[in-house]
Amino acid sequence: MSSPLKRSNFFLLTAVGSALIFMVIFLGFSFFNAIYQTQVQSRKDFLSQQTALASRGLESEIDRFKSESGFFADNIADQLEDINSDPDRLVRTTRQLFNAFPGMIDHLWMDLGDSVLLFSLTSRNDFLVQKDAEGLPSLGELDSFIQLDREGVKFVFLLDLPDFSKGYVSIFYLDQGGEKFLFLNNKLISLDQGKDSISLDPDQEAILKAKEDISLGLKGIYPVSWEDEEKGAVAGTLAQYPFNFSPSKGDAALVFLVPTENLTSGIYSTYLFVFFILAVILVGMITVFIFSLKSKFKADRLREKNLEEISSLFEQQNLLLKELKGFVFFHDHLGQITEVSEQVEEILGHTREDFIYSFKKDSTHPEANQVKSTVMEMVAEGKDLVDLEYDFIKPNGEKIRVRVFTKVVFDENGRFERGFGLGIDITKQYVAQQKILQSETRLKNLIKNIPDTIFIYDRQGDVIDFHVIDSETLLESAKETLGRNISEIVPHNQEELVIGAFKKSIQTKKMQTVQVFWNSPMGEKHYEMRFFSLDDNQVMSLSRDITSQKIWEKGLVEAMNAADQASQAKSQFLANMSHEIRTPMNGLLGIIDLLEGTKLGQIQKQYVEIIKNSGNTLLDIIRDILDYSKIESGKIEINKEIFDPAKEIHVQKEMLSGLAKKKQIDLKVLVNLDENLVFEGDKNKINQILLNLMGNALKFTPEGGSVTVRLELEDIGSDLYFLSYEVQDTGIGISEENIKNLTQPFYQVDSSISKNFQGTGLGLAIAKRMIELLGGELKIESKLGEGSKFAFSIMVKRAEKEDLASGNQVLTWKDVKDMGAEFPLRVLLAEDNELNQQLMTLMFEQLGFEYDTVKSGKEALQRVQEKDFDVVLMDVQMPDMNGLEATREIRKLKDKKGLIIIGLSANVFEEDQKEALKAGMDDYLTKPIRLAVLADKLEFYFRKVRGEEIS
Amino acid sequence: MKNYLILLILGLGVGSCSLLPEKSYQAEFSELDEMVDLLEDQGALLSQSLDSIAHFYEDHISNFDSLLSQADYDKYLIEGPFSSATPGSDSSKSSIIILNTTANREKALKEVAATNFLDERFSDFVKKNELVAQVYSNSALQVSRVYPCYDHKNIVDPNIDVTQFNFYYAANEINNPNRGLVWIPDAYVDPAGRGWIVSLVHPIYKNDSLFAVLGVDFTVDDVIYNYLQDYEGEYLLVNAKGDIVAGKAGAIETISMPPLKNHVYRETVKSENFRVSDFNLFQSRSREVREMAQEFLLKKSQVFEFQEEKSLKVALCYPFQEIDWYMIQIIPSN
Repeated sequence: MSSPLKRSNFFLLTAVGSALIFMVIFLGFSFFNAIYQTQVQSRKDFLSQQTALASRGLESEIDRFKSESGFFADNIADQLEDINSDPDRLVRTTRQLFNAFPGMIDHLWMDLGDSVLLFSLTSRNDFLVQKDAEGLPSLGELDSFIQLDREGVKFVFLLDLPDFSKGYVSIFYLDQGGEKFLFLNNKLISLDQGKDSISLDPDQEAILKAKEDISLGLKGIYPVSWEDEEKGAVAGTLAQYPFNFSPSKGDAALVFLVPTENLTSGIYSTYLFVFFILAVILVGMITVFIFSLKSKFKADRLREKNLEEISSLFEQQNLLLKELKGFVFFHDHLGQITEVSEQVEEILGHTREDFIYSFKKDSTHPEANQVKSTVMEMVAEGKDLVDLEYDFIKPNGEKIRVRVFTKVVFDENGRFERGFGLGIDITKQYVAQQKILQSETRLKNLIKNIPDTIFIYDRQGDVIDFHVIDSETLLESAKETLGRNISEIVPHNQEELVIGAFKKSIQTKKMQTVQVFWNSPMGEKHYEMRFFSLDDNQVMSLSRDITSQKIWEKGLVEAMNAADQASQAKSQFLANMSHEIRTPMNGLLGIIDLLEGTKLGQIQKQYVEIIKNSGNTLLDIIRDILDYSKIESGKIEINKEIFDPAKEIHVQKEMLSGLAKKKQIDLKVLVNLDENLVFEGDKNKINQILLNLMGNALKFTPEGGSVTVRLELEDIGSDLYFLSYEVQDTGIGISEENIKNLTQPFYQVDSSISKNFQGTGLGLAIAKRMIELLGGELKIESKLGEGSKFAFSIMVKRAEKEDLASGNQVLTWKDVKDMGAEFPLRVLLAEDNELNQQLMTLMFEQLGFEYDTVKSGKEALQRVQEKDFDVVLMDVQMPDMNGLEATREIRKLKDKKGLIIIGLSANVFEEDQKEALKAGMDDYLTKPIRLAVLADKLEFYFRKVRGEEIS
Repeated sequence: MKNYLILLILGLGVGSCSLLPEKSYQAEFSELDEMVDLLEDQGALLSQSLDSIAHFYEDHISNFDSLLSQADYDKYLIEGPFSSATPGSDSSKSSIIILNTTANREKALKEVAATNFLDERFSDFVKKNELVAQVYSNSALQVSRVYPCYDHKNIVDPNIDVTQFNFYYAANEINNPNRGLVWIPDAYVDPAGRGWIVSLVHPIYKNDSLFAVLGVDFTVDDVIYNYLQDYEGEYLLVNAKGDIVAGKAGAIETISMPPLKNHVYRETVKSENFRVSDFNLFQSRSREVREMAQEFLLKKSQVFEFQEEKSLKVALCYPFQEIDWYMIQIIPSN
């Protein structure tokens, strides 16, 4: 609770206290007033009641008197004769009646016929009986009488009600100073004997009211006043209660009067004093209460604050102990534990009681005694702070390391009095420390055995430490480097490089490597320096002598460069050679194609066939060499397209069916594949491999043998499949030894046999490398004389059938012949080579096309602008302006966007073809240009152009 | 918190003075209701008994001529207005008076003879009902027949007109058009000392004209006291005029009435000097009691709270249904 709140509470309490005092005083007054009123009222009530009681009692007495007097009269009348004979009896009986109602009967007249007797009782109690000579009194003159007539006797009772009442009411208590009156016949008669009577003013209002009430038969109580000789005017209360008094004609009532001061007397003295004393006590109590409250608040505040502090300290200490895994203990000068905190159980596994017990004077607990004796020894040495560590095994077998601090307290005489301390479980730290020690040892060993020169720098680059295995390797004395900056110890002209690496290693916190060299007297020395941050303050460098490696690397690079140059030269040579051979081949083979179409004799036809085959073979050889050189130089690319493997395998079979038929070889294709499946893969390469393997099989299978091609599909999940091809023949077979070399380029099994078979010996090498390129492996199984089996698997991805492009129609020779008439295309040929120009014109003539020729790109550009053409056949290599440039220019012309330009070149590399298409050519034909291929292309573009025109 | 509690207690202490609930006196009223019901049930029993005689009477006189033909003219010797029978002389006879106010004495004499059958009925009725003081028939012809005999010669003035008395006219055509039983609300104190007498009358018609009024006087003191004694509390039974018919001594004494004989009202009533008027609520010495009587009897209030009379707290009043009487409970202040 904060102190302002407390203060406000204090003020509140003071206010409440004050309010209480006022309230109590107020209540006291109210209480007093209530008591006063009640007292007054109750005394008034008492007065009323006394009056009523007396009045009713008097009335009862009067009634009783009436009855008794009646009985008396009857009695006398009945016993008249006896009375006459015994007069004393009459007197006795009469006196009894007088005595029964003392003072009631003033006189009694008894008319016995012959005489009238008058009875009376004097105030001195003398009972007088006289003969009344005057006879019965005249009733008209009397008040308060009872007349009774009996046979032979008459009675007249003259009653003295005041006198009777005096006696009767004397038994009713009235407060001091009060007086009793009888109201009879409109007169107030005092009933108090021997006392100065109060003289009321009969005309005062209260008396008049009282009289009126009495006349109505109503009781009442009234405030009255009278004059007292001593006290002067006196206020009082008058109570009256009417009663029946039939003997009298007037009203009758008892009237009691009490002075008011007597009603209230004593109330003040009794209650007010008590109340005053009580109020004083209360005020005193509340004052004391407030003061004690104030000091209590103060003390409370202080105590609360202290408590808060203590409890907060205690909590913190507990937390600390918990975190520390520690416990606090206190011990006496004998080493006996007097108190220990509860954490001891958690840490040592022993209860507080056990712990305290084990340190008792006669304890036999070994560990406790050991600790105790250690502490005692240290105390004996005069140490006042003991710090020791020891291993402790907990009851559950767990081994922990405990550290104990004890602060020892000495008394005035310097005697060891007591102590207190802290026990902490430092197992974790201990283990960690041990690990660090081990780790440091390992690190030291490591560094010790690193052959490199090690420097350790601070962040400014000053050398803090170093390590050298062989101090001779250092150019300068190692000791001299200590404290020097890195910039001073690195080789000249390389400071920037080294300091850059040093700084970068700090910035990036990554290892930075630089190579430096020194020109030493022993020659040039190379070092590789690795800089890395050890921590935020230290950087380490490892310097390794790489002089010998440098020398070796230098030689290697030179050798590699030489090899690269040789390889490139070879590739270039091959490419050039291929181009150069192809150009004349174009003329040769083109002419043969044309020659085939002329009329030839049987022998001529055979010769042409041989020339054609030789040419084709030569072309194949060139192609194989080129392919292989491309594979070797890594220039070959994989072009994926969607294809139907089943269909493709049949196309290959079809292509080889002629050869098979010729050799009467049973060529079978077994495809175990769902017809609808299409895949994505390099179709052309697969076909090339297949064609090669099938071709080889047919080649090396004797007549009448069989070649079986199988295709299997293997699902390997997520749309990926293996296409497994197998080509099996019943050929001559290959020896195991030969199988190894079979895929080497230019290798041919046993040249004596292979003589019969044409080929470069590159086919299998190409196939093998292509398979590997496509991610597969060529497996060869063979037995001499029995046949061979070539198998490979290629991974493909499944594709949708809709994406499969429809293939071109196969063109027949007859189609080619009719081409010109059917497709009258206007063709422009741009060709610088005379021979090729002649060949092409011959081909156009044979095909029946209309054509123009130009000899350069420039001319072509000019001619195109002069005349409309459907197709331009553009040689790529031309003087002046080559085909690519010419194409670009043509494409720039406004209305020549739709002109078909087909490139012609002896370059067979794919990049050449791409270059051509990029320049704006629609298509590309490689030389030698074969008639069928040309016809096919022209037909295709004719359909396209004319189709567009028609539509 | 503690401090506010102090304030709260103080507040409550000050406030509680005005929070006392008003009392509805339901329990007291239900007890009064029960008492009144019981007394009225008792009254109903008495009514039924008279009703049976009345029917018998009416049945018989419907054959008046045949009654006349069989009549015993000698049963009563009537000298002047009075029959000769004296009290206690003949239990089979009634006291008969043919008042001087009769229109036709001859006819009246015949009527006496014709209605002699009543004597036997009356005698039975008195024997069976111990509360019955007397049973009587007063006829339009001024014939009065009262059973059992009483000192009629000394008590009754023969010149009176019986039809002018409430025990007759309360049952006539005007006051009782239903022609059923009627309780006479003005009870009276028996001069013979039997205490309070309550009268129940029933008209007897002959040929649709009022022939006579049959009546019975019950002494009710004992019955009422027996009932009152069964209930704790101070009760008063008063009639419409404010006369105290019955009451417990405590109740009567606290309302400033004259002193009771031996503190028992019954004894007081039966005493020689008793005057009903002395024991009337309007004659109380207390002005407030007179006000109470006014509230209850005139204004028909049911609750009266005393202010002046310190010994009295409240009075509750519950009226009877069949008779104009009231049961009053006086609750003293302590």
